[in-house]
Amino acid sequence: MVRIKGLSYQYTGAQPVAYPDWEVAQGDHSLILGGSGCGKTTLLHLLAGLLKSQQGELLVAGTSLPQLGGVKLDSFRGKNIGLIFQKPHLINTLSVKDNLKLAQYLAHLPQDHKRISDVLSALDIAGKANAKVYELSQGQQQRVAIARAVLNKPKVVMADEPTASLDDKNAFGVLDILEQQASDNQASLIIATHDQRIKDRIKTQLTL
Amino acid sequence: MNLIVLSWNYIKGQKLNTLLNTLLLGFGIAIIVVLLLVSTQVQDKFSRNAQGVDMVVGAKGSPLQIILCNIFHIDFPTGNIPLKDAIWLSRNRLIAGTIPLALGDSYQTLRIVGTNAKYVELYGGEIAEGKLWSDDLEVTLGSQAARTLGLGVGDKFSGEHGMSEGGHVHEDHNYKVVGILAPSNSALDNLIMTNIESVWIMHAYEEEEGEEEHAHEHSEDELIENPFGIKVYHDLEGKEITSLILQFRGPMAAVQLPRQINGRGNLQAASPAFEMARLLNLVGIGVDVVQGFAYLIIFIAGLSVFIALYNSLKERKYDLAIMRSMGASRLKLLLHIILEGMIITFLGGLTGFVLGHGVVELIGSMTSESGQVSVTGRIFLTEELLIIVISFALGVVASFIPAITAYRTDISKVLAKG
Repeated sequence: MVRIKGLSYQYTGAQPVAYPDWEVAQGDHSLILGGSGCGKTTLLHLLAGLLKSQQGELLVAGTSLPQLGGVKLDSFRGKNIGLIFQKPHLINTLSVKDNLKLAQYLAHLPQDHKRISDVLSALDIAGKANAKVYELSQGQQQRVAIARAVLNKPKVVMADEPTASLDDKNAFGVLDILEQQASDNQASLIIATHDQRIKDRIKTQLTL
Repeated sequence: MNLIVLSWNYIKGQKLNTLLNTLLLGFGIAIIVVLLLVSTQVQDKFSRNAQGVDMVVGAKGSPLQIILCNIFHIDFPTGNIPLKDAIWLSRNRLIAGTIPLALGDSYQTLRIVGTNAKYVELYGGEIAEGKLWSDDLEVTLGSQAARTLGLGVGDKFSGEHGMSEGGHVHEDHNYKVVGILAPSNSALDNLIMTNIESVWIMHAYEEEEGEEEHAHEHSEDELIENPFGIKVYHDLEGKEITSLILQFRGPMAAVQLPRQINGRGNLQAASPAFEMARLLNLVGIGVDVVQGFAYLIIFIAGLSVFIALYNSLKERKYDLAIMRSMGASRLKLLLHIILEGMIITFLGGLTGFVLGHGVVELIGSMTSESGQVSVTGRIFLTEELLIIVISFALGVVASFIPAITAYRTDISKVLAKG
C-alpha cells in the first residue's frame, strides 16, 4: 500500500535526510517513531504528497507520487489519503456537517449525507452534526477531525502526533478510535509519533 | 457545499467587517447612482422642454433667469415686455414663428400661463379630455396639474396673484376648466394654460379693485391685428406680455437677432442652448467634486476589503492548508479568496444601488410639488450595469493580493507547526 525506496529529502541549507526502505501492506497499522526533529513529520508529509520528494521511489496506493504534480496530486490526496494532526484544525466558521461536506466537495466526490451521518454515528457525535465547531469540546473536535479523515474512505489514514497533547485515558481513546475507523474503512494507518505510550499497541514500526 | 457557500460562511463569520465594507462601498456607489439618475433625468427634461425653442425674449435681466422662468417654469420673470415690441419682433424676416407667454399668476403653486395654441403644439401636447381654451377665463390643464389639483372638466377655481403660495386670491374671477391634456413629458404637464387676455383681466381687476368693473364694450373694428391672435382694442399702449418664444428661419438669425433685440428698449434675448450649457458648466463643477468624493469612498472601500481579507489570512492559514490537504488545488484557494472579495463588493454594490434609487425616489417625492424638476428612482439606466461590473472588478482587485498569498500557502510548513 505504501512503499518507499532510497527516499531522501533536503531542506534548503540543511543536511539531506535519507529514509530507510519501508513498506506498509494494505490494511496494516504502523508507527513512525523517533525523537523530535528526526524527520517524522517530513516523512509523513512526503507520504501525503504535502511535500514533493526530491529523490527515491515513493508509492502510495500503487501510484508513484513524485510523478504526480499540481492538481493531480491534490486530487489524489483528497481521494486516497486521510490526514489527522495534533490539533483538529477544523474550519471554525462551518458546522460539523459542513466541515465534512467540505471534505467531500474538495475531493471532488458527491456530497453524501448518509455517509456523513454514518461516520458521525460511528464516532458517537451524530448529535453534534449541526453544531458549530467552537461549541464542541476538544475531544469532540478531535473526533470530528478523525471523521473527516476517514469520510472519503481513503486507502491510507495518516496521523501526525495525534495523542501528543492528550492524557493517558484520552490518548488511548483516540488510538482506539483511529484503529477502529481505519479497520472499518479498510484503510492502512500510519501514525508518526514520539509518544512512548503507543509503542506497545502497534507492532509494525519504523524507527528513524 | 461549494466555493460560494464556503466564502459566504467566512463572510458571515466577519459580520462587523462585512457591515463596514458593505456600507462604505454602498455609500460610494449610492452617490454615483444618485448623480447618474438625477443628471440624466434633469438633462432629459431640459432638452425636452427646450426643443424647438431657438430663443426667448424677455425683459432686461439675467438671460439664464429668462430661460429658467419661461422654458422650465422654475424661476420668476424678469419683468414684462411691451406687446408692441413683440409684434415688431414677429415681423422680423429671420423669425419663422413666435409664441407669446404671459406669466404671473398661479393656483396652488402651479403656474397659470397665458399663451396661445402654438405653445401646446410646440411640445406636441394632445387633448385627453374636453378642449383647448378658446374664450376668456377658460383654462386647459396639464395632465399632472389636473391630478395634483384634483380638478376635472367643468370645475372652477380662482387664481392667485404671484407664483408662490399665499398670494392674493383673485376672487370672483373664476377660471373654468374646459380641457385636460394627455401627458407629454414636458413643461405642459404641470401648467395651467389659458389665453393672454385672461391674465390681463386678472391684473386689470387687481389694479382697479374697489371700482365698479367697467363694462368694456368694444366693436370689432377697434380690434388691432396682431400675429398672436390676442384680442386687443384701441391701442397697444400698456399692454404687456412676459416673454416671446422665437423659432428661427435660418442660422443667420442666431447671429443677427441678439443685437437687434438687445438694442431695442427693454428687450433681452436669451438662448436656451447657450444658457443651459452655462448652467450645466456651473453645476458641473459641484457634480465633479461630489463624484470625485464618491470615487474616493469607493477606493477606500476597496482598500478596506483588501485589508480585511489580508488580515484574515493570518488566522486562516491553517484553514487554507487543511483545505489543500483535503484535496483543494492552489487555484481553488485563489478562487475562494477572490470570490469572497467579490461577494462583499457585490453586496456593497447592491446596497448602493438600492440606496441610490431610494434616495432619488425620496428626493422625487419631496420635490414633486414644484413639478417641473421632478425625478423618480423607479427608472433603470443601462449605465447602471456598469456599477455591477465595477463592484465585481473592485472585489477582484481588492482580493487579488490576498488570493495570491493563499495560492502560495506552503502547506507542509504550516501544518508541521501544529
